[in-house]
Amino acid sequence: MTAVRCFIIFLISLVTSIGAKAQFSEEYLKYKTMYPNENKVCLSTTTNFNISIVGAELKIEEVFSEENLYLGSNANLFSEDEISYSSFFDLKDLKASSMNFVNGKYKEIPVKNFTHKDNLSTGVFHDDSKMVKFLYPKLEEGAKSKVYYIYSVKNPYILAKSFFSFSYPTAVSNYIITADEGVEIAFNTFNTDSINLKYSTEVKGGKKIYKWTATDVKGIKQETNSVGYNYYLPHIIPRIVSYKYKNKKIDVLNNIKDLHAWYYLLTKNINQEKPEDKLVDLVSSLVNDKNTEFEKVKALYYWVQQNIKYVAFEYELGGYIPREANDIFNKKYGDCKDNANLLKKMLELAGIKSYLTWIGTRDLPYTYTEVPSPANDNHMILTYFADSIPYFLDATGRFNPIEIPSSFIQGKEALISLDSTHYLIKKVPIINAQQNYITDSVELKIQNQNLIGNALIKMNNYQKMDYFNFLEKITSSADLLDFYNLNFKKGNNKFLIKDFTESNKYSYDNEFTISYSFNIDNYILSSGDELYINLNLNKHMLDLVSKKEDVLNKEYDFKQYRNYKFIISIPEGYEVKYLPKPYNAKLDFFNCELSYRVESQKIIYEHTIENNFLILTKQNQTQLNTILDELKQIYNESIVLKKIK
Amino acid sequence: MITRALAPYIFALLLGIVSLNLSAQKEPFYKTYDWESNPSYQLNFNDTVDIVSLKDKVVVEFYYEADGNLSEYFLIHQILWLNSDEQIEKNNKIYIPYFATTVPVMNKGRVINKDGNVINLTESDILTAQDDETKKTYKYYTFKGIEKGSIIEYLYILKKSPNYKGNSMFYQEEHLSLNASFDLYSPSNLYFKFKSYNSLPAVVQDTNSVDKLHWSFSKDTIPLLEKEMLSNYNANRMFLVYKLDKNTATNQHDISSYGIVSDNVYKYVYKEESKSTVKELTKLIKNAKVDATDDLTKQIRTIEDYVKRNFFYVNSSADELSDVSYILKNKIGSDDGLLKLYAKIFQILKIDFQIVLTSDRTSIRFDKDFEANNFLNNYLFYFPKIDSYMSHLELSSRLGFPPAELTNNYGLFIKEVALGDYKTGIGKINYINPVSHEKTYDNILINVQFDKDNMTTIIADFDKLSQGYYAGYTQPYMHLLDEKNKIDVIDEQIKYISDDVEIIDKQVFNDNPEAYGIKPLEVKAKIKLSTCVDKAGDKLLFKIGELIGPQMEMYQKKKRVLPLETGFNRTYHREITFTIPDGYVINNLSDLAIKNSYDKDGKTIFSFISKYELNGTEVKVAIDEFYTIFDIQPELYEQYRTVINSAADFNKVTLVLEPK
Repeated sequence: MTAVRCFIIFLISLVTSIGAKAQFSEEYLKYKTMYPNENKVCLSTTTNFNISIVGAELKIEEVFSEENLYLGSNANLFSEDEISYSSFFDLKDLKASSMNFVNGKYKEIPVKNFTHKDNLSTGVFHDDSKMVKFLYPKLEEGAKSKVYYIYSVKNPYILAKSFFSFSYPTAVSNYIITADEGVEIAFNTFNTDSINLKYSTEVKGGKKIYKWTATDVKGIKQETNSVGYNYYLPHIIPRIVSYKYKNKKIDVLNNIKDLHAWYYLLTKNINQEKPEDKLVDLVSSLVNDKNTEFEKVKALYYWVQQNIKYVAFEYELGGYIPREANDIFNKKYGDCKDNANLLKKMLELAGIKSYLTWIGTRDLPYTYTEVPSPANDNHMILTYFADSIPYFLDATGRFNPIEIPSSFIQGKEALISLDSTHYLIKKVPIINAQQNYITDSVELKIQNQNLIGNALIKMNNYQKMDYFNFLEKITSSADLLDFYNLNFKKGNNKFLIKDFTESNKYSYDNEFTISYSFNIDNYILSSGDELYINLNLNKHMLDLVSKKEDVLNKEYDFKQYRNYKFIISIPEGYEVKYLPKPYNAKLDFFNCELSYRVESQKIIYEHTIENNFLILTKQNQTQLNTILDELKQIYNESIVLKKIK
Repeated sequence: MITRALAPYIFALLLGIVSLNLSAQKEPFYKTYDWESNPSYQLNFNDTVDIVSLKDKVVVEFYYEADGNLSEYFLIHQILWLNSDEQIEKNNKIYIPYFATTVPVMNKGRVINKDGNVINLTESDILTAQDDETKKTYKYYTFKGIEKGSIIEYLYILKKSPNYKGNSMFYQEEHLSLNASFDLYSPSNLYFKFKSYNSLPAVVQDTNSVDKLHWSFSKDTIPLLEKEMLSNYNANRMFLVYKLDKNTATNQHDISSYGIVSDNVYKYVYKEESKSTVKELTKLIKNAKVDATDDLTKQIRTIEDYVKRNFFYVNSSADELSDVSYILKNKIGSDDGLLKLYAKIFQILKIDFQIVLTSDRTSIRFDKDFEANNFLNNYLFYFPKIDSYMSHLELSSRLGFPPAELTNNYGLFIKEVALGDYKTGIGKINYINPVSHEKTYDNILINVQFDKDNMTTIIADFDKLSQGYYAGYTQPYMHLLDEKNKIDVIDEQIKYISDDVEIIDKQVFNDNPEAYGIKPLEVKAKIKLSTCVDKAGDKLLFKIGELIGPQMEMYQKKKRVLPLETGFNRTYHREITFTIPDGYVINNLSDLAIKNSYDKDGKTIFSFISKYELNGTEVKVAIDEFYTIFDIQPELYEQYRTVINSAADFNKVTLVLEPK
């Protein structure tokens, strides 16, 4: 850089900072320099749990305060804020304000209007969650917002977890538990290795204070296909282990046993009613022609999946307690715990034992040993044992074969309640790639410049279930054709299916097959007496490409296997002039093969891909990227047919 | 919807419609109406049919209460046969929203199963939710016991403040509807007018009705209307509009005419503000740096850019958000509030404007021949001197580029007229012209070099310029994005070719809302592509067409029923240049030339033309494509398809590079 240019740049920055000084606070300038590309920084956030023993009960208050500073000209986009509350987290106090930097100091403008609304969310049909909405006035670049509220936490089992940072940077994040002596606390921290986190305890005025302080925590932004935020954002999950009342120790959540005991308590009084005759009749009609217990379980499981619609009611502890089997049977709708309970009752009527089972979906990456608290659960299923092999029945499923658990609980621990004091922890299996297959076998013919094909697609398990979920929503034949044109697309978008036949559509136990014929007009390229055909008609592999700058691990719904077999007849009078080389790549989490061969006037192209991962780590992704780069080159190769002279 | 703040002005006449001691009325219709106590329905449908509406009945009754005030009783009675899991899940929940002034008179539902078993909803099944923000209450419930093949039936009646100045009722669905009907009853002095659209039968007066006036239509079968790609489904459904026309008791005529609306809107928007507010407004104009010597367009843009950058729009009916002084102080405002804010600023600057009220034509087209308030849903500012529109709400819009769905439509233009000292608003219905195709473009210039060391890789200089609506998704929002999102948005401008594009370096120009509509968003980049050249033995297959990215295609032949609407008029210009690598020849350059267009009355309506020039070894390809209309009637569909597919065909052009 020349001296003159250097000087000009110096001038520009000098002018800017002088100009800026008048308008912005020191604080703004500091953080703007630290985080020039961020729009918002959290200056401080404090969550303070006050836990005291009142009589035989615990009184829990969560005091939350936060101050944010806006660094971008889009500050007013953050004007709207909302706080939710419910019967478990009763909102006691709420204050909010904007802070504007005027004439060298911050001036506070309090928020005056708070509007409350019942939360009509789409996921849960009816619950007791409410929302209070408000607007921060006059948010502009350099302004700050403050919010303060208190929850009265009504249930000692349900303490919310707390994050030390979000997608934007946080300067200071405090997490404090102030508890009466006699209250025993346990906690787990996650993803805190790379942040500056200090932990201290002190005893003050008969209270024990646990304090975590994280400083200058960078924000982490979600990326395409990345794992959920619980996998990477630093956070803490607290729980109350026990407390003392009149010198007696009362256990709350000391271990899994306590968690199970609480869950059992919530469910022990359900299904007290006599089952309705109709339900009894239905069960016997569904199982009376089944020879084995397993067949009976299947019949009942599939009936619930088909006939009970998902409608969630979460009112107070109703979010944890299943409703009566009779009730769900009559209403024909319920949520996960309702459906699990109905299925349990139906199995019981058929003389089959099964067990209510608590589980967290894959978004909750914890084990019960680490987190023996409801923070580890968000779902209920039913476990059935056949020859001591557990089957995890998700009665909210729609097309789940009995052997296949819902994809979103694969690999997770299940808490299976056997009776009032006994439980089992079992890991839900991860279904291997070969079971989730799609194979596409295609016979191809060249007709003038067009490629004509007859094909048979077969698929099973998660692949099939994914298709079924989409197919169920399609009502017109035109939309169905569009769907297959899009999903079976080969070559380019001139791919048009002429006709197709579906077999085993919506079948639980059999593979789904579709035979179809298609045209790809003008796909064949020719020059002189040569024809060029790129047989890499599917390039699904390249869907695994991710941005090089991404840092987070990627998550996939299931492991999978794909096989494409394209057999093209060599037209009469032609011979093969060029066949591309084969390719294969093998890693412990990934396998790919591609080959060409000639057999009796036909070229056989075969391509298999096996993805053996649910989570693709950054390191694995880097390895995979090398293969994908090679594969791109391989996909660029066409076969050449030449007229025999 | 006309927003709440404005509603009292527009509906000011409401108070004038109290009863003038008319003779006692018969009790309202709903008192004698109920569903069948022993329901039984003929169901002769093919099992592949997944849903049929067995009854779709609406009854609206205007009724003088004992105190002389007019009420509206609104009755809906619907019966649906559900024969698929999908339809059960879609239809098993009912939400009835209403405002605080509404009283639910009746609300019941039941499920009738195939075996004739009836499951009635109980009072405790009906839930209530409040929303202080919208000031709405919801009654909602789920039907119990639905099985495949069940019938659901619901009937509810709301007693509301009367809404009689224009209301629409839609009938046609994606499924067959049987027994569709509409009835309107009113006191003998209140005469309504009706209009039916999209082949719905006309609403006719029942001349035998005594004591009250009665109009109705009923139809045994309303055919289903399928959704089609790129169609404005709702606007094409069968519907009717009703409005009060005259009150014979007071001898008032044209009660729902736009004359009254125009005057009310005028009074609301032009309301005088306090001196201190005007002072604040003057300060705002100063802060916005409006230069009075600039041309009108520049002045308006300066104001618009300033307000859109500094004020936040909130979709709320809180009263203070429509108060100009509050908005100035807190930098947040509602639809009505921001409308007034701009209007005041333009008045101070003596910028001549008109307020336009129109409809979103994708939902309902403005009917220039039937004045009714249900067509008056969205505001625009119109500046007659520059013949240009401005949207006060849409961040994606700037002067000259109003939301496209409000254009190509009629609207009510309200302008200030002075009669001596008296000023008022006069309305006139005019056509809102769509923005012409030249003003919205997406141009791409690409200069390709082959990598001599690896001939399947190309390096290219890339330059993309997006102007008008094409940049509406990006340019006006760029300043709101954080760095990561901004990079993503810019990269997307290049990666339309393929995700595989490697961006070596890039520069962005005019990536700010102030440039929107004035200068194009420009992304210049050096890119590397390894998927654009195939190898076939010793030949190279240069997939040059892929450089324009995948194009919309309509290869599948389908009969078109609904008009096809693509949003806005547009133009594309593309240039691709490359030098044939040493040692190679290309024998199929002629594949690059494609020409398809449609002319009407000597004017080209839409067109795709690609051509090439060969100078020595340099090949220059130029593509010009444009669409001067964006509502394509079914009879033009084939011609449109041909042009659209030309671009998709070009996308597949591959040149064969053969060794010499």
